[in-house]
Amino acid sequence: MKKKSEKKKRILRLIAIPVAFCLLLYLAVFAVGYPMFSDILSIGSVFLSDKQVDYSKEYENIFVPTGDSKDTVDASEVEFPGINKQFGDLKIKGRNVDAKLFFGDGDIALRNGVGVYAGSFVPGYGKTILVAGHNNTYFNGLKNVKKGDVVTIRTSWGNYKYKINKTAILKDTDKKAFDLSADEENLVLYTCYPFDTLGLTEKRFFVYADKISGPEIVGLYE
Amino acid sequence: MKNLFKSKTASKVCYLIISFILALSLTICALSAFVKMTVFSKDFLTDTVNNSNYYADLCDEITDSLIDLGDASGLNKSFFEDLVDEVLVREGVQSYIDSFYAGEKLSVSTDRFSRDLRESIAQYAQSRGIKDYSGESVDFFVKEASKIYADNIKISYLSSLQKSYLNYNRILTIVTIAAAVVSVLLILFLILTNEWKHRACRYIFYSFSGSGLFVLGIPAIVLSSGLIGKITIITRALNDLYTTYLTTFFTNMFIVAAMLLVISFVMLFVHFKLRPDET
Repeated sequence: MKKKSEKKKRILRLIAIPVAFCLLLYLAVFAVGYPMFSDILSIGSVFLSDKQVDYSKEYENIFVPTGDSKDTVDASEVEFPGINKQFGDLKIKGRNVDAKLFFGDGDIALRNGVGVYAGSFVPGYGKTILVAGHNNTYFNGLKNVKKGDVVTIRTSWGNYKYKINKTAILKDTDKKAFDLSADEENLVLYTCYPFDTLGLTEKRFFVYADKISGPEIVGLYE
Repeated sequence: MKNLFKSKTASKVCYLIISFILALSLTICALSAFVKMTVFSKDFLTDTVNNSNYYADLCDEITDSLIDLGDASGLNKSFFEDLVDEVLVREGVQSYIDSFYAGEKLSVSTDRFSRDLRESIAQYAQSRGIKDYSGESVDFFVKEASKIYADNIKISYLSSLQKSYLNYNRILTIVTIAAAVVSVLLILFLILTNEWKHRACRYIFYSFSGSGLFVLGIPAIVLSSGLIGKITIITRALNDLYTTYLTTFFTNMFIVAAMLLVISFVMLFVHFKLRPDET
């Protein structure tokens, strides 16, 4: 009986001691390496996310065309678009400009249409709407626009019209090209310049337009 | 030594402490040698790059970025379809990795890419009857395209790690050798100071199995936690590269753990063989 319990003890020791060593090693590593590991973990956490990365080139369309617009629309009825979402379309009749309108002017937006610079505003906000597009694709037709042409933007919360008052060729770094702090709703379309030539320049073609109709978004700050 | 270990219990405690120190030095030795053979080895990164879908993804990403640039430069999508040469990309990435491990300045040569691009533009222009294809605007386009190419060839975050790599590479060699020497000395001490050799084998078993369990726990925790799957890096190519790299690294750690555990079981086997029969 005593022999059996001795044997049991010995076997238990053969398991318990390595496990204890293992736990002590973790403790030692934790005690010594904690300052270093906490730094590594905090840097590493920047690259970790519970959300799966979406590498697809697809985009979400939240645009639902609406009929005649009212004068105002309540902010609660407006679904403000997220980056790379199509929330409307933009047309200039007779000038070969007809493109899907995205929020954000990144690669996905400009591959599929034209995009509102995320630091500017969406129609109805009463501020500057800055829209970018490529000169070889959706904004190639800007080369045909004339003063007095009407730009139509349709969104899910209303339809807007803007009258072109001037065009300009400026450098891409020109800070006077547009004013994002303007208090009047105005539309600025821009693309690379010149059109239909090979190569890239620092010049941009700007089209300026003033709002002529479309619902104003109210109750924004309530 | 016999005087030192007068009491049986004191002697047991001393030997246990020594075998724990041996477990510690074995762990340091095994892990530092393992890190040296993986993270600090050019071949490990090269193999990972070759075994992941890195080059194919990278070529797609460069092409997509160039198509976007082409949309602003009068060049159609079809122009870029076969422009990015995977062989050139492979050479560029390999050269970048070589420079990293050699401690040289990290840069990407875009000469061949620029030259090929200019030739393609000339062919494209001629096929469309465009006469003006060598002006300032084409130069600017080639410069921007070459920048896109170079930025993609560079393996992100590697440049910021080069200084640490060079510093730790030397230290790691010293640590591995020092830990190996300490381990050998402790094993010799256990064998030579134990009159009963089966006891020495048992203490060595404790050390190797403790160390093996510790090493086994690291990849088991990391891989079962799904931490690697949560890595989010902006491009698919880099994300695949880093996740493959880390998965391979931690999977290979199982081999180190297995080696330590196999040695421990050999020691246990020898222990039972040498132990006098209980009658």
